[in-house]
Amino acid sequence: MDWSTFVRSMHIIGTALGVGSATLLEVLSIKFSKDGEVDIFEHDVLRICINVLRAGLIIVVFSGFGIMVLGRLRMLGPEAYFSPRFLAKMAVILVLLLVAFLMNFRLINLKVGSAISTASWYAALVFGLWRTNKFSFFVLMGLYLGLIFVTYYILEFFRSRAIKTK
Amino acid sequence: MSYFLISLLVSHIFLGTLGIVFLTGYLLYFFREDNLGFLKRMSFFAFLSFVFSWIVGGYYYVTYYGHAVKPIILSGEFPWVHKVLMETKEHIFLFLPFLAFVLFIATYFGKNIKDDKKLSYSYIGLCFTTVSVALLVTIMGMAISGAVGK
Repeated sequence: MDWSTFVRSMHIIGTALGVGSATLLEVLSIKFSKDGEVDIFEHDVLRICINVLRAGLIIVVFSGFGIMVLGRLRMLGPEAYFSPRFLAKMAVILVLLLVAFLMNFRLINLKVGSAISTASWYAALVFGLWRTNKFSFFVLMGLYLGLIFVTYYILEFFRSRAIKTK
Repeated sequence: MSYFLISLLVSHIFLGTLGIVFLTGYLLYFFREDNLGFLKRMSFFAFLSFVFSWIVGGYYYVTYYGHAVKPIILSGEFPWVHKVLMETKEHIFLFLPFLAFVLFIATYFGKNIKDDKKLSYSYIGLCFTTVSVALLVTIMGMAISGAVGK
């Protein structure tokens, strides 16, 4: 296996872990919050999801730098690294890191934070896969912002439905 | 570019990112109970990572970047990437091992660092500043790498 295949595989694995655990974290936290309290078992399950999510983020960051180094050695230059798609991905990852800090120190509403975190994982996935898009950086950021709002309201809908069907 | 120089460049990026990961771990787990040993280890490994990233990055910069990479950037579309970002990075970068060292020493020898709220926020402030500087340096490094085109 060459380096390119290795780092790209790791990047995909990291993204899968991140998107998967972020989704599972939301689904399980909605399910567990039905009775209004989180017991020790439920807390442990959510903690495992958070740890997998953090592992995914670390793998994504390191493999992302690996891909960047390979691109640097091939001298891909500004066309690849100053492209709106690449810059949008970097912005999303930075938001993801910032929200992790803010949520950890309870400096942001947890519902808003979790919506931003989940939407960011999906945005990073879509921006990574959608290679043919020709949108500018600001359009991509607008789409990202829209995705955050949509995610927030979808999660709120399921939260309120979970409470009603208690 | 020789394998030795590629290894230096990769090590520089890897160790710098590892330093950020250790300090992020320090920040995220600061308020957990009975984890002073963990915080000491995180701050120590972050300090080591930044020192080694500093050494290999410095060697790469002195022996290769100046004559092989800098002219490509200056003759390219984005010469300001070297003139502004690299010049800024190579100075801000100097602070990182010292900031990490202060955090390590303060964590290692500090007393009641978690009981005193004001003191604990000073530790978090120092760690957050170091992570922010490291992230800024990383973003600048990415922009510099991105400006090297054919």
